[in-house]
Amino acid sequence: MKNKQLHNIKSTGFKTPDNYFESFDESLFLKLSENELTSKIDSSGFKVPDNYFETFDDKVIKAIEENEATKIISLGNWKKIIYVSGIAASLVLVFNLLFATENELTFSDLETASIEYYLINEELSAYEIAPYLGSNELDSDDFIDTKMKASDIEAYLLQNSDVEHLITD
Amino acid sequence: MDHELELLNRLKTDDTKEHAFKELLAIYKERLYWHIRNIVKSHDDADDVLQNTFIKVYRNIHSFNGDSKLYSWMYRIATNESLTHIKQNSKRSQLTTEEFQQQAITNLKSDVYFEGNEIQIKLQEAIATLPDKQQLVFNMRYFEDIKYRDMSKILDTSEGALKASYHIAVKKIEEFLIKD
Repeated sequence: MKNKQLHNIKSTGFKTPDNYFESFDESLFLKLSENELTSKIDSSGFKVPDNYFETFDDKVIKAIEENEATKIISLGNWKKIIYVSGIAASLVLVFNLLFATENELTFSDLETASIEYYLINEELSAYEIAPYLGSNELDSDDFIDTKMKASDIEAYLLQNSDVEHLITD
Repeated sequence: MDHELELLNRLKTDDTKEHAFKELLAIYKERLYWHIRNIVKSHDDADDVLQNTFIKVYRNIHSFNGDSKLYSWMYRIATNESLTHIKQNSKRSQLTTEEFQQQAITNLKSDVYFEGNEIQIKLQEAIATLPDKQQLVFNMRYFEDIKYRDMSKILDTSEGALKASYHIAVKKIEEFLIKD
């Protein structure tokens, strides 16, 4: 009985995905080229000027000394500075009171380019700017076109998500 | 006593600070240079950032409380300084950081301090397509050979997340490399 059944089983029953053998060569070569590519790159290719590291110590120590030197201001000098700036401030005050004109500088007199330059160079984050925007300036339409990049979402998930939490939920 | 702790004590003592600082320079300047160079790409930028890093270390060594290792603290300063440098320069050029990085890589072709071939430039292009964190992880693992355990302290991220990041980065880079 058994033998009869065995006799009827001509194949193992295993099968391959469609076009497996046709595409095998291609995927093998792809894999090989991958390995070849990464094995060829063992350094970044960056190099440094001759004697850079030998002269770096002196350069950084000099930079620190220069920084320290500009920071040290003796108390005598401070007194002079306060004295002189006191006189200067009172003179400015007197001139302002005597010759105050009606042409006061307003926010609208500032060039847009200057404001833009200030905003770009100040390290302001979106969160810092947000409180100054009223609901008039913001429109729900502003957010319709906001698309998050897949890479940003991925980075966020990698940094913030707890895999176990995701699994258990 | 642990050498690093002993060095730290000397760095915090006025009489021995200068000598200890020179020792610190001798130990770390090259590794920090390559760490920074991998991020900012050009030698001149790397030189600026490396100097700023050591100046910060010198000035703030008194406030370093020893909670982390000295080297991971220095790597953190170097990383932050490099990223800030890129951010400031890209703002100055009115470019996004991605555009600025692409430009830095294009400049490599004419950089006298870059001796890489086409494949190495291609690899830099591939790295630049990754998010910041993945770029850091890839450079630190692939070129700088930093252990995940140490990287975890520098980047304040779990080893598991770093391994996942590296794995994804390698996949993306391989895809980029074989695309053309």
